[in-house]
Order: sequence, then C-alpha cells, then structure tokens
Amino acid sequence: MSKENDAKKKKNPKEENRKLNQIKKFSFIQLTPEQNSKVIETKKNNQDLESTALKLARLIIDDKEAAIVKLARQILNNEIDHSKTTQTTIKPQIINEKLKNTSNEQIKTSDVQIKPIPDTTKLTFSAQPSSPSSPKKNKSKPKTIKKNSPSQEKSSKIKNLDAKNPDEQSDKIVKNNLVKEQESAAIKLAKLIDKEEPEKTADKLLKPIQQGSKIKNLKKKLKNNVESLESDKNENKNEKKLLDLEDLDSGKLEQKQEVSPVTRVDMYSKEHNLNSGKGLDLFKELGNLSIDKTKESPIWSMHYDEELKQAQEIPPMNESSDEDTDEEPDSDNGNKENVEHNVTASRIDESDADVPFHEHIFLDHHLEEFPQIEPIQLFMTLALNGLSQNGHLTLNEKKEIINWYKSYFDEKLDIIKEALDTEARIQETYIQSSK
Amino acid sequence: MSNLSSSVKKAISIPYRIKRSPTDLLKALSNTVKLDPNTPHYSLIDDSLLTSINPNDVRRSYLSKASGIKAAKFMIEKYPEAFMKDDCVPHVKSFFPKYEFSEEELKYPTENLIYSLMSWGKLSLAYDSYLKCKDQNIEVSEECKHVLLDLLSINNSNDSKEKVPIMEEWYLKGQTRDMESKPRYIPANTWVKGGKAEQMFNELKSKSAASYCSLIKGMTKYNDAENATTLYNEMKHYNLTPDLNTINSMIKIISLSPPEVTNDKKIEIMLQRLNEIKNYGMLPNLKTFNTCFELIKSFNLFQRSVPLTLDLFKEMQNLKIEPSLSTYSHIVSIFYPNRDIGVRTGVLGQVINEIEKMAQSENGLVWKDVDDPLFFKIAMEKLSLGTPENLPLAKKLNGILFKENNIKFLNDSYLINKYFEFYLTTLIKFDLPENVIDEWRFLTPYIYGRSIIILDRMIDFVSKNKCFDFVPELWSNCLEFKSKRLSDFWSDTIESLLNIMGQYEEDNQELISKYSSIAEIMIKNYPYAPLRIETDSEDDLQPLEYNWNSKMLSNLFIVLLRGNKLEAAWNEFENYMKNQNKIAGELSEKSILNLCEALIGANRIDNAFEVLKLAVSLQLPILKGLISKLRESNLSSEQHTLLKQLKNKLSL
Repeated sequence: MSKENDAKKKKNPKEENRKLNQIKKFSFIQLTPEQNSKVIETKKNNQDLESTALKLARLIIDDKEAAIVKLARQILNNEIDHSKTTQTTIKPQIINEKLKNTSNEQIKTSDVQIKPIPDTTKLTFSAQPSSPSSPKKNKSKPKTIKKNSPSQEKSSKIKNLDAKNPDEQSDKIVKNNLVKEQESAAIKLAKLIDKEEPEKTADKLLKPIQQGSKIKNLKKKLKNNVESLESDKNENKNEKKLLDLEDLDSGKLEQKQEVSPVTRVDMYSKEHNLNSGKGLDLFKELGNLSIDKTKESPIWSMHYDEELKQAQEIPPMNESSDEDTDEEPDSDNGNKENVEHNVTASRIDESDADVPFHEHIFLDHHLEEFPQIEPIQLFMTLALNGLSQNGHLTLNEKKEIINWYKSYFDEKLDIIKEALDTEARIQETYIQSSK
Repeated sequence: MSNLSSSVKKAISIPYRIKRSPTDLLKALSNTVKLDPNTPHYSLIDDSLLTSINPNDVRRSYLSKASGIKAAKFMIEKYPEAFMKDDCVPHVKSFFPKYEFSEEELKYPTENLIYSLMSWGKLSLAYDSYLKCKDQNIEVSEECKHVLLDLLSINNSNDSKEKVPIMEEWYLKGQTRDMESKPRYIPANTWVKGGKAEQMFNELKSKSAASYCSLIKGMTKYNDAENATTLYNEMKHYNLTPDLNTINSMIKIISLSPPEVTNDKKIEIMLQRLNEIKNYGMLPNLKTFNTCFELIKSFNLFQRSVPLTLDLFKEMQNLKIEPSLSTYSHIVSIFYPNRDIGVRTGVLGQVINEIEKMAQSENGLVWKDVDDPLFFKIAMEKLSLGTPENLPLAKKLNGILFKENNIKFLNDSYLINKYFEFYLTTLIKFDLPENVIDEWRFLTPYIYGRSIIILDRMIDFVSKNKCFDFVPELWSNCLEFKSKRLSDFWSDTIESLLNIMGQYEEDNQELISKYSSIAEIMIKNYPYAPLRIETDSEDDLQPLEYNWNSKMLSNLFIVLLRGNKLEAAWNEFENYMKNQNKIAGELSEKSILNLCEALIGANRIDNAFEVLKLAVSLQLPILKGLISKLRESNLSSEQHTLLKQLKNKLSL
C-alpha cells in the first residue's frame, strides 16, 4: 500500500507544480512592491527557515488529498491491526500537539517577514479555508473573504501580536529543536505502528505532519479536537507567506498581480500622478554618450523627414486673417444667427427664375448712367463687374444697389468736381514750380 | 536736457542682416491663413445653388477636382511633346512630363544611368541596369549599391510612389486612419519576400551595419516581423551595431508577435531592446519612447501597463526628452483602455494641462511625430465618454485647438470629423442649450460638415430642451442632405421635429408660419401615399412611400392649422381618409377638433361634416361640443336632420 502511494505522489510532479503556482499567485495578491522589498530583506536573514518551510509548503500544496487521506487511514488501520486501540486515541493528540508546536514556532519566524503587510491582508490569510485544494474558489472571491467569523479574526490578531516580537537567533534554535522534536515523535509513533521498519514509517509520518492542512481531513474524520484544527490553519498561513518570498526571488511579481482581479481594478480605479513613476534607471550613468553611434543612411533620414513633412500637409484653409478680424470672433456667430434659413428646400427667390442670364451678367450699359468723370467710371466698372459675378443677389437687388450708387454720386457731384479742380490746380502749380 | 544728451551719446548699433530664404515671405503669409467659419472653402464656392455643403457633396466635389488633376497629368504623360515649353523660373519639375528613358539609353548601363534612374523613381529599371552592369563586368561602386538598397527597402522593391493630389490625400489618409483605429486592427504583412530589396542586399560584397539596418527598417515598415527579427539577430551575431531607428522599429514590431506571445513576454522583449540601446552606448530618443508607449497601448486592458507607463514617462523626463502630442495620446489611450475604465485615474486632466502649457510656450505646439495628430481626437473621445466634470476640460481642449493654427493637427478627414463629432456630443451631453447652439452655428457646416449621426443627436437635444426658435434652422440643416432615398428618411427625425412644433403654444407669428411651411414640405417631400403619375415609359421609377404614423399626422394637422394653412390641411385630411390603411393608429382628439373648428370658421360646413363623421366613428368625447358648434352655423335641412339623428344616438 505504502509503495503504491509513493508512486502516486511521484507520478504527478507537474501537477504539483501547477497547484503550487496557483497558490503562489493567490497568496501574492495583497503584497505591494514596497512591502515585497521589505520582505525580501528580512527573508535573507531567514534562508534556513525558508527552505524547511518551503518543503512543508510544497507538501501542503500537494493536492493529492485522497492519497493523504489514504495514508492517514493506513496509519490508523495499522494501529488497529496491531490492536493497540488505546494508542490510536492518543496518537492524533500527539500529532496535534506537535503540529501546534511547529505552527506556533513558525508563526514567530514567518511573522517577522510579514510585518509590513497591512491588517486586511492578514485577515484574508487568516480567513483562508484550511483546505488549500480550492485556491481557485478563493481567488474568485477575494473580497468576501474579508467577512470573517470572529474566531478567525481573533486568530489573526494573535498573529499580529506575535509579529511584533521578532527574534531571529532564537528562531533558528527553535526551528532546529522543532525539527528534532518532530522527528523523535515520529520515530516513537512509527515504532508503535511498524516495529520492523520504524524509519520508513517515520518518514511517512513526517510528511503528513508537515502537510498540516492535509491532515485536517484525517482529523476531521477522527473528530478529535478543535485545537488541532486551529493549529493547522496557522501553519497553513505561514507557509503561504513563505511562498510569497519565493515568488519574489523568481521575479514573478507582476505576473502574479496580473492574475488578480483585485489589483487590476486598483490600477485603473485609483488616481495617478503622471510624474509619480520611478523611472527605469536604465540610462542613468550614460549622461555623456552620443545619441546615435551607427550613422543612419542619409536616405532613410530623408525618408523619415519626408514622412513627417507629409503628415503636416493639409489642404489650404480659407480665411486670410489679420489682427482686425481676430478681435471679433463673437460677431461671426452673430452673423450666422441672422442668416435667413431656408426651410422650403428652394434655395433662391423663385421670382428670379425667369430672368435670363445675360441680364444678370452684362451690366456694363449702366455705366452710361453715371457721370463721365474718370475716377467714378473706373470705380463703377469694378463695382458692376463684382455685381455681375455675384450669384447670391436677384436682378432687382442688383438694380437697387446700382441706383443707390447713382443717387450717391449725384449728391456728391459738386464736392467731387471741386476736389478734382483743386487737384488739377495743385498739379499745375507743381509743374510750373518744377520748370 | 541731460536725459536727451545722454541718449544722444548712445552708440547706434545696426542689426545684422538676417538671411531669408526665397520662400520665407510665402511662409509668413501662409501663417495668416486660418479657417473661416462663415463661408465655404474657397475651392467649393460656386453658384449659390451648387455650392456643396453636406459632407457627401463636399467629398464628391473635392475628389472630382482631384481626379481632374490626375486626368491632366495623364494627358501630359501621353503627349509629352506638347508640354515641353518651359516658361517657369525656376523650373518646376512636377509641371512637366516625366523623363522617359529610351531603349538606346538603357542598352549601355553605367553607374550614372543607375543614379539617374533612381532620381526619377524608376527603381525596378535601376535594379535591372545594375544586373546588366554585373553581367557586362561594368564596375558599380558599393555606395551606389547602398543607395539602391535603401530606396528599394523604403519602397518595398517597387518604384517610388507618385504623390496624389492633396485633397485626395486628405481623404485617403482619413480612410487609412479610420481602418487603423478599429479596435482589432492588425496591420498586414505586405513586405515582398525575396524581392529586389533582399536580392540587392545579397549582392553586397561586405554587408555593413548600415545595409542590415536598411533592410530591417524596410521589413518593419511593411510589418514583416518574423524576417526582421531573424535578420536583427543575425546582425547581432556578427557584432554589428544597429542604428537607433532600427532598434526603434524593432520595438514597433513587437506588437505584431504571434498571439501565443504574452504581454509579459512582449514587455520583456521591449526592455531587452532598451537594454540593447544602453549596451550599444546610445541614448534613446523621442521616437523610442513613443514606440514603447504605442506597444503598451496595444495591450489594451492590462494592469502592468499603468506602472510601466509611469516609469517610462519618468525615464523620459530624466533624460530631458520633451514629450510630443503623440506621447500624450498614447498615454491617454493606455490609461483609458475602454469605455468605463480609467475615468478615476485623473490622467486626462493632467495631460490637457500639460498640453496647455506646451501651447502657451514660445513655440506653441510643434510637430515631432507622425502620430501627433491623434492626440486631439483621442482626448476628446475619452472626454465624451466621461462625466459632466469633463465639460470644462473639453472646452479647454477645444480652446487649445483653435489657438493659433493648431487645427492643422487634425490632418485628415477622419480625424477632423471624429474630433468635432465627439466635441459636439460632449456639449450635447453636458452643456446648456444656448452654448450648444452657439458652437453648432460656429462649427457647422464650414469647419465641420455635420454628419447624420450628429444631426440626429442635435434634434434629440433640441426636442428635449424645447428650443423652439432653433427648429427652422435645424430643419434647413436636414434639407442640406437632399436625401430622397428611403434609407435616408429618418422617420424618427421627422417625428420628433413635428412633435416639438406641435407643442409650441406661444404667439410668435413668424415662427408659426415657418413651422407650417416646414410641415407642408415634410409631407410633400416624404409622402406616405404619393400620387402616381401614369406615364407610358416603363423606366419611370415608382415614387417612394415613407412611413408615417398617426401621431406624426396629428401633429402635422395641428401645425398646419396654426399657420392658417387650412387648404393644405384639408387636402391632407382627404388624402388620409383615402389611405387610412397605411397609417397605424388614430388621429388625436386635438387635431380633429382643430380641423373641424377651422372648417366651421371658414364656413365649409360640408367639409366639417366629413371630419365629424370621423369623430363619430372614433367615438371621441369631443363630439357633443362639435355638434353644438355646428348647430350655430348655417346648416341645410338635411344637415339639421343628420345632426339630430347623431344627437339622439349619443343620448342613447
């Protein structure tokens, strides 16, 4: 039986890794980069502890619960087989006691590292169901986890207290003692189970002990005591935190964040300052280096310049503005407001429809109606020219404009003649003086 | 006095003469040209009936002019001898037919021939001539080969492209941009594999770094990521140092990696490229960072994007590289990956403030990158999706756009249309009616040709806010589309316009008469039961039938009758009685009452009885009132008895 189980465990190392990764990802959610960096520092001091804890953790994450349960049953069965019923009741107690010890010790060690983690994260850790076989479920509902039962919160508070008293040296000693105690206890137990090969059985026994949470299933079945359950949970938590440390080492920080829905929402839903970045520190020491070492071929440079130049080409705009027009942009709006809006789909006065085009275009004959004075004739030639090209006016409107000019010049004729006379006189005197 | 004397002593310094290029004056003049919101573009001005106003007409008009230019060029090429007289000083190359190389000339290839072929853009012929030189053992310098390789890489082994007329370019660029802006757009690999460029590369005796770079840049320009990467690795293998633009273009093509490459992997490659720049002892430039941001933008919703972008931006600041408009446009896209996300980051406000600072600086906004014009459109798009708090930001952004000639940053038809669509949408969503209408009048139709979408939104806005004065103007805007086809008839549009006109109860006679003529035109242009004119020819298309409902018709009667167009209303009523089966629902009480009263008032008792019959068949509660009113008027004996019968029926 035991051989079969071992074989089963070895069969799926990949699956184990996958599960391990999943849990790693999950457990990493709550750590910010700054916290991580602190954790790394403390971590370096505790490498020994870690390695043992990691071993434990791997075992915990091993999802082959069934195998573990079988193993546990096997333990029990063996005991029953040997008909030492009195000891079967004792045995789980021994295991639990040992577990309690280990977990308590480990809380101390690992809490040193976890110090910077805010309370909320601790809550989530503490609230984690003790069966790590369902990490996916946890991941999908990280927020609901915060609603803890009071007892769970209590346990997390206890942890907080513990976390305030780090003592590395004593931790190491404690750790070594712990391992020794575990081993000796396992050997004692193994002797009870299998007198012929106590060492092998002891190894078997040690694995489930270190797997902590997995043993929970066994314990549940045995329904022995509540204490054991709690110690289980604690151990479980510690291991997960240690796992985080390993993540950091392997530089998978961001990958883990990416998976977590919590952080995703955070990134896009909190305020950012554009200048709050840290920089990449890539080009720090290169202040004096040239911008481009290999010279680009001039044809490609020309091509890039041309591309940029072409992007800037837009069709010409249509308002030639000087400063005068700039001052009255509001009145532009006003003009548009007063435009007669055509609501009947016919765009010009229908009354003009019968007017032949030549009456619109050829307006030269009106020149004769104006005084035969050169400046007036010159001006009116241009004015009539403009009118003949204007498509927006009806013939009557054009005639009105011409008549207005006529009356205007009639009125001012005297002034114009006088001005012309004086001009001619000035010119005469100028010519005489120049002679 | 002492002051004066001291000032006299000052030495007069004559400033040095500033050297001006012959076109500086023209440039100065061109800076005074702006957009005129009050008249159509000068190239559209025609007889007032023919001036294009709606976007479709404008487009057609511009493109037909462009095709005229092309036709002229075609004629020049076809009959070159007729266009050889050169009166231009200086000579303008593009006014003259292209030089055609005779077969005689091509028979004896030399390096000079290759150069002149290249200068006329005939790259295929240049390559052929090179091969001939090789066959005939005529020496061609490595320099010449390099130039040919560069040109072939730039033009993807084809002859260099001819420039299209500027107006066509405007729409062409818009079309491309439209395509590229689609969310799942993946640029196609158009690189000619094993083409003349690659052949030319193989012809080189010693392959320098520059030649590698040239081919790699060609490949990346036409999106051949795979081959470019292979070549790049080969180059590194031979310890050749690439130039900066080559590394930039290698960053650009990371986004074209196959789908199995994760975003993390892409970031890793990007950082690797940046490290390479560092290791080669170079410094990145603006283009480097812009391509990095563009790459991050392509990840869409990806949380590593945010911290990475901030870090990159900081790195840029550390290197004192001034960001361009495109940098900010990419950043905005990164922080606002889609509709609901990113609003809380508050980055848009910071970016617009930065742009404002840039615009107020001495040089104003400066072109630095080909993608710079994207900024205004993207920023306005994200603003239009946000909250009312975005309104001042949108106005600020628009203010920057109209400052100086910054509108030149909207450099194609797509960008300008989209920008103003988003801007007006933002205003319609969040602003007061008077402001919206002011901006509407200012922008449309000469700066922004209003699209049907925005017109629809505006009508919706006007009817919600009851802007009665604005209805005639809006209707005239609708008419500019000259839409006659069924697909262009927005029954919703007409319904909402009729609805708002029907609600008008004030006493502005001018407005009332306008409303009634609008209603008349509506039913005339878009009839539900058109008169069929019988003609002999079979070609005549059947007139279209538009969808009307009873609510629209009721409002039509109300509006017509308020404008004293009784005759028109009566004609329509008769028409309705004939075609009741085409109209869903029943006429409203108010419209029937109004019509009947108007008929009685005009002493058209017979007609009033017709309306009464309808009211009876519908069993309207207003019947009693109508009957008593009819009784007061002059009735014939038959009508009297009819009325009596009716009254008896009702009392029963």
